[in-house]
Amino acid sequence: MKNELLLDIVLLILNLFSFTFGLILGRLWASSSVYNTVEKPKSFLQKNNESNKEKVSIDDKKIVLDIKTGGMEKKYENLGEVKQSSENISSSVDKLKQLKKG
Amino acid sequence: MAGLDVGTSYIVLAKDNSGNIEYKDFRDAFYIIKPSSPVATKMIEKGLSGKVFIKDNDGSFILLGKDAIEKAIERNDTAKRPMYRGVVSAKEKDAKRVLAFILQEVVGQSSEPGQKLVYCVPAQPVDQEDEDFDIGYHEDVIKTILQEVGYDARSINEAEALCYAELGENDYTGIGISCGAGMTNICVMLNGEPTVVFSTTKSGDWVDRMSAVATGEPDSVIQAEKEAGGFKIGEPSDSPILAAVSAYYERLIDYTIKQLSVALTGHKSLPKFKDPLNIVIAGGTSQADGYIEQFTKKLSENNFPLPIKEIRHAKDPLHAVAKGCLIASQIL
Repeated sequence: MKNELLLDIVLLILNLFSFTFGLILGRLWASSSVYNTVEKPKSFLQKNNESNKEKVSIDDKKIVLDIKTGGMEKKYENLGEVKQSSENISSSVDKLKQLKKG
Repeated sequence: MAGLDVGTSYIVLAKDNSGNIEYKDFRDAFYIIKPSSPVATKMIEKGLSGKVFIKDNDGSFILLGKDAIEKAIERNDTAKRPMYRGVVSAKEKDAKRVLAFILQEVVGQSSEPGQKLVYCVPAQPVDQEDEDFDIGYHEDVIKTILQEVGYDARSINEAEALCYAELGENDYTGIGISCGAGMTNICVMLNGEPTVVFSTTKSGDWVDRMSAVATGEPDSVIQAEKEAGGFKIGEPSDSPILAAVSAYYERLIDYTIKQLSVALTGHKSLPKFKDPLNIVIAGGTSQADGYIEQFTKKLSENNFPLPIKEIRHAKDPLHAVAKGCLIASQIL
């Protein structure tokens, strides 16, 4: 009885050792080139290497062509109403300049 | 140095005049009359004496400004505008030429080459998907026009300019809302830096358009009646036109506040303000009687995400943006 128990314990330890050894060996072999050739299969619907390609786009911003006002003859003396205001903006300008510096 | 508010309804130039500010306003509108014969040409030109108009190289007459609006109303028509919903349209050939002419007349030739001028542009709208709506193109057109007359022209957001003009007493911290004809522009500013900037395409023109549909009158008649006053937002009126205008104004204010609340709720760039904020409102559309009262009322009814201290009208609602552009030109 005692011998059987001892034998079971030895067998258990041997099994654990084999498993651990096998795990370590498996990890070491995984880094070899043999395993790297086994690639994960890609779906044919998936576009290959799209994310690696540089995106090319065209500049479609509207261009401003010459705006010709020649030929437009003025038939008035003054355009617009002029109003004077007593407001002074120098303190506002100074304050903003200080804020922008800080 | 100068500041220029290029608006759908008004163009306003602000210049420093020995410490004071000189403003030049012009109504942004035109109306074309094409004579049918040489005799008609002479008669029309005689009839337009005293008005602001130009004679084009194809023989047509182009009335400008308020004279254009008055002539259009006389003919039961609507004056054209070089800008639509806050920006230059790429499709309107006449509009660009007329806008160029008006702008160059208002600003004049620069006193020295490369004179600094800051002009305002709207922000990207949160409610517009029309591909004709191109703010970048609008900015480039205005810059090109101003460069032709010798200016070093830079752009600034319209509501940001308003904040520079009106938030000095609040350390340039608060919210500026510019209610133009074509658009409503909004800027949330913290210590002089804009943090959230956007616009909506519903403003004064929307009120005119909707009221025109409701009453069967042309937009120009609605606009003239609206600008004459005689109504208060939120109160009934005997005039069907003014009743419609008042009703649509309420809806516009409600819409603006809802858009503002949605835009600011959870916005990643929104700072954590220590104190309640001031809101300053400007622009021609905000001049309607009762606008600020209604805005205050609607704000309290909506779940606004920021604490508000005060809602006030700009000291000079029509000129505030141009003043802000002038201030910006002196900081550059």
